[in-house]
Amino acid sequence: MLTIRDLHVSVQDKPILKGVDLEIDAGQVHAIMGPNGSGKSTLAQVLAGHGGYQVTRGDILLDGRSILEVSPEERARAGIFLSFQYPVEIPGVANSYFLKTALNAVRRGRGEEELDSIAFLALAREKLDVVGMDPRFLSRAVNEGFSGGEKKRNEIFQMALLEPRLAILDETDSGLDIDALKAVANGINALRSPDRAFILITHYQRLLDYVVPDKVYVLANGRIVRSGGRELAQELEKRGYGWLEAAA
Amino acid sequence: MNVRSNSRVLEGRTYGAGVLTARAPVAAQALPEWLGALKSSALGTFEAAGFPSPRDEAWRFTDISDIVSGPFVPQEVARSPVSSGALAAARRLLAERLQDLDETARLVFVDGAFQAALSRFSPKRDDVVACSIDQALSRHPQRVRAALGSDPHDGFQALNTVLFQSGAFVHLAGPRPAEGAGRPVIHLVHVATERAVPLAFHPRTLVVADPGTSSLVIETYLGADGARYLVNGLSQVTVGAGAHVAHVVLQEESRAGYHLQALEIRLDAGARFSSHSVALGGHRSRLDIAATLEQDGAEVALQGVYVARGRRQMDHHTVVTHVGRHTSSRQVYRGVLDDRATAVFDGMIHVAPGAQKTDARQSVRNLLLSGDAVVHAQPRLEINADDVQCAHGATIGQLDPEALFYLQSRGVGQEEARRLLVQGFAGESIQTLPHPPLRRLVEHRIRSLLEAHEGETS
Ligand SMILES: Nc1ncnc2c1ncn2[C@@H]1O[C@H](COP(=O)(O)OP(=O)(O)OP(=O)(O)O)[C@@H](O)[C@H]1O
Ligand SMILES: [Mg+2]
Repeated sequence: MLTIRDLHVSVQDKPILKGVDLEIDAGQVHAIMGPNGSGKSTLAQVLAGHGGYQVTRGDILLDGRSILEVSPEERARAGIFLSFQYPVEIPGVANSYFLKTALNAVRRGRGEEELDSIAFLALAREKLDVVGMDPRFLSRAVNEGFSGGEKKRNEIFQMALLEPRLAILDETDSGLDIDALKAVANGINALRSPDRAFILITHYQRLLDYVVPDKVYVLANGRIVRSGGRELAQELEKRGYGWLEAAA
Repeated sequence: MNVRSNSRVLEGRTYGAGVLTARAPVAAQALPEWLGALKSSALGTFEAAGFPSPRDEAWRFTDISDIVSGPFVPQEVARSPVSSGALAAARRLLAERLQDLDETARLVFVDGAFQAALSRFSPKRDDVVACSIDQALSRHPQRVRAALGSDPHDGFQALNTVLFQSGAFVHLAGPRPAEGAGRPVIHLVHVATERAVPLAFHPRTLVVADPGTSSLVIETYLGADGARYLVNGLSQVTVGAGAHVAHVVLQEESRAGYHLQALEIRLDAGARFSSHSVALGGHRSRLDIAATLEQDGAEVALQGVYVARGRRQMDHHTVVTHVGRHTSSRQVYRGVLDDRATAVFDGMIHVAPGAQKTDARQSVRNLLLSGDAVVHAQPRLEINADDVQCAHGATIGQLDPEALFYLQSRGVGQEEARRLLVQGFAGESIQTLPHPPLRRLVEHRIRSLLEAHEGETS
């Protein structure tokens, strides 16, 4: 589904990613771990199409086609979803209005009919249930004044609503209490299917107990320095990254 | 003020010249003697003060040369009745722009003249008087006289006093509305149609709220596409002890229309007043608000939202004077500027000696969507008491690129995402609008304004 080939990315001429290769097929869950500042969020943002990063070399292919020139909204309509490490607050824009606009844009992209307000609300309530969110969050401004955990739940709620084919979750498990972590895992597992793929960026083994990855990578200093099965995550939990960074 | 430049204006074949001929219609109207005297005295004031000059601090950024030298002719309701064509145009505009806002009364003025046929009062209730000033002059002359007050000192306001021929008189009689009747909503609608000669209108609005009453007064100004005219309005609101008046100006003048309006508020003890200015149209528009909190415990809240595109200029000037003790004022203005538009905000908070426990706040935020748009924001404080709390802030910003990316990453197209963010920015101010049907109307008008492609150059 997604192929990342020799990806080099700079921010303001400062190289961050220095040749990343990754291949993920439909139905799979891959986890990316790695020390702070190693470039995990950079990779996630570049996949979603953030214009502030320059791809200086390499390519990103979705279903065999390069998406480097594709706008963020077109990527979303093609089924890419990014759960932000730091969800953005948007004062004055109601969550429900924003999500209805987004969902209908994505549905149009998939060739589906748009939903009217009533159908949207019914669907939204159903998805809120999956992540254990109060319907009152629909009428609040997008992420404004949400607690850290509420913001993360809101990201998973949006994912549940938009039903992406490829979901990239950037530290969605950070800062969550046990219940919220379960709710997030629940949201992911509810969506898992043979035609969807997930990239989980995380610092902790915990989430991977609920959502078992097919593959684990370690990103350090802009490169993937190690890959393995789920046992790699357990090893990292015990030993940290020092031994890998020294090797890299 | 410069008298010489002023007399030059008055000598030319100008709007000023039209003003001089104003004595004739004033004399021709069958006015009560006291009103004739007030108008004569105002004419004297205008001749002495003249139009504001660019050297006037308060008019530094408002270029009125088009108005002073412009071709606007004072409208004379009596001599040129509104044609059936103009009425039909007004009807169309009303149908297109204003749905039913669930008003207690709606008074419609077309090209300055009151139109009973377009107005409505439902249901009849005896705690509300809403009629044209002419009607009020014959029914309650003393109330009108008190509400008009004395001769204003500013040139444009004096001109309004000289030349106003009609307007609205609203009296909220207290203390309690009849059982089951909610807060009355009075809607005053002024429509300008396209005329062969550019007209100048001087609508006067008088609102008198008796002690203990609560009401909403909306003034809407609409202009037909292509209409070129000047509105020089003066609205005076008297809020009795413990009464609450919410006042809205919805300004949707035509692209070539000029809108000048002064809003004067007098507040008794414990009275509350809130003003909402929604400026969306006009070539040049300016609202001057002066609120004096003379009695203890009075409160004002002034808020505004303006969306300026093309080459429009929109001004808001506020002077809030705290005199009584324990008075408070809140000002929140949000502006969106695109293309080559200009906005001016000049807000003066004046705390008089002895106005202890004053609490005054002011915040102005402008969103610039184009590098060619210009904002002049001048918050000013003048504090002559020691036990007060005053805060003000003015910011100018652009759309947040991270917020834009967030919306786009959810599939929302770039144009739509920008519009959502702009609406969200303005929305913080729209949310404070009273009366849900009005709020929906304003949301809708702002959305269609943002969606419209501005092909204009003027
Ligand atoms: N807009 C930017 N301007 C300057 N430097 C940036 C920018 N974005 C990222 N960087 C730098 O790129 C490097 C990688 O950042 P990134 O956010 O991708 O790390 P990360 O692996 O997600 O870290 P964390 O685990 O702390 O979330 C860091 O050194 C960061 O400071
Ligand atoms: Mg990160």
